[in-house]
Amino acid sequence: MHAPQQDEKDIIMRCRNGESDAYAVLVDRYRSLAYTVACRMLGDAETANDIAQESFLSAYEGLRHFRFGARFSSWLTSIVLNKCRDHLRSRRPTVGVDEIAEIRATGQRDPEQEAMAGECVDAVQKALNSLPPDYREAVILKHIEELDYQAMSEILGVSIPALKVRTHRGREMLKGLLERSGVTP
Amino acid sequence: MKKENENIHRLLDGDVPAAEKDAIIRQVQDDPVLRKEFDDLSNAVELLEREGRMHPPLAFTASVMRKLPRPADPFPARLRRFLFGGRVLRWNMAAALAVALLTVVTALLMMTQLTHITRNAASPDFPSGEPAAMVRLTFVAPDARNVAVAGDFNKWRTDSHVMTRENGTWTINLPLKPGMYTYMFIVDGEHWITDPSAESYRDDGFGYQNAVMRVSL
Repeated sequence: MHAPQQDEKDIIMRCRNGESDAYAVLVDRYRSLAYTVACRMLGDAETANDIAQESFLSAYEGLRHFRFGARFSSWLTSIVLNKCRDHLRSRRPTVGVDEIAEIRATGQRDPEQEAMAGECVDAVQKALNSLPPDYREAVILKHIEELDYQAMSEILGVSIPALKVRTHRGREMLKGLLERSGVTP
Repeated sequence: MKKENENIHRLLDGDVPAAEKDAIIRQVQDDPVLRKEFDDLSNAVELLEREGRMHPPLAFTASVMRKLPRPADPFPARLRRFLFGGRVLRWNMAAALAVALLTVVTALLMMTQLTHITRNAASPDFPSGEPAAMVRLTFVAPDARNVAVAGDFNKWRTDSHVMTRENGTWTINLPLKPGMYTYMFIVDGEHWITDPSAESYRDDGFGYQNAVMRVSL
C-alpha cells in the first residue's frame, strides 16, 4: 500500500471512530478533483459546487462500507459521477453547435452568465456538454484527470475495451464539435 | 473505426509500445489525411487538457465540514448537557395564562388536600376522613384526683375520655363532627358535675342539667 493510501486509511479509521474533524484532510485534498469533474460534467459552477459537496457528504456517510484496497479518490470520483448522471437526467442534455460558435465568434462571455457559471462557461465546456454523458465522463477522466484505463475502469465499473471505445468516440465528437464551431481549424 | 485511426487514438492514449511507436508515427506523418486527423484530435485534446483542474470556492471545505452529521455524544456528556445546558424558553400570552391558571388550580387542590390531611391527622376517631373539629374542654377542680368526660359523643362512657391535669385545671381535646352534643364531667369516678362554662344547658330527665356544646367547622 502506498503512503498516501496508508495515511488515508488512518484518516478513514478515525472518521469511523467518530473523529469527524479528521475528514477535513480528505476534503481539502480532493475538493479540486470533485469540483473539476462535476464542473466539466455539468457545465455549471454553482451546481457543480453543490454536487461536489453532496458527494463528500455521501462519501462520509458511506465510509464504513469503504474497501481499504481501493483508492479514496477513485471511490469519491465514482460518487461524483453518479450524482452528475442523476442530475443530467433531469435537465436539457445538449447545447447546439451554433451556441458554441457564438461564444467563439464574440470572443467574450456574457457577464451575467460569467458571474453565474464562472469558469465552466467556455467553448470547450459547451462542446463537452454536447457529448453523451458516457463519452463525456470517459474524456474527462482521461484528459482532465489524466487517469489510465485501469483506474477509469475501477471508477466507472466498465471494462477497459469499452472505455477505450468511449474515449475514442468522445474525442472524435469533441474534435468535430470544436471544428464546426470554429474553435479549432 | 479504421486501423489507422485506431493507431492515432492509441498514440493519444499513450498506449503504444516503444517498438511500434516509431512505425505508427511515420505512418501518420507520411499520410496527409492521417496527419490532419491526428493534428485535429491533438488540438482538441490540448484544449481540454489546458483547462486542467479547477478550484472550488474557498469556503468549500468549511461548508462540507459544517454539514457533516454530528457524532453521537457519550451518555455522560448528553446527561451533563441535559442537566446544565442552557435553554431558551419561547412563550406567548395564551401559554402563560394557561400555565398561570394551571398553577392556581393546582395550588387550590393542594391546599384542600392539605386541610383534609390535617383534619384527618388530628381526628383519629374518624379514620373514614369525615371532617371534624378539635374541641378543647377545661374544668377547674384542683382537689380532684381524676376527671373524665362523658356525653353523646362516647355514649356516656365514663372511662373512655379521661382528662389531663394542668395546675389544677383539667383539659381534654375532643375531635368531634359538626353537631350538638350534651356532656358532663365525672369527678373521682362518682360525682357528675355540669360544666359551669358551657354554652347552654339541657335537662337530663333525672333532675340534672347536661352541658351543651355546638360544634362547627
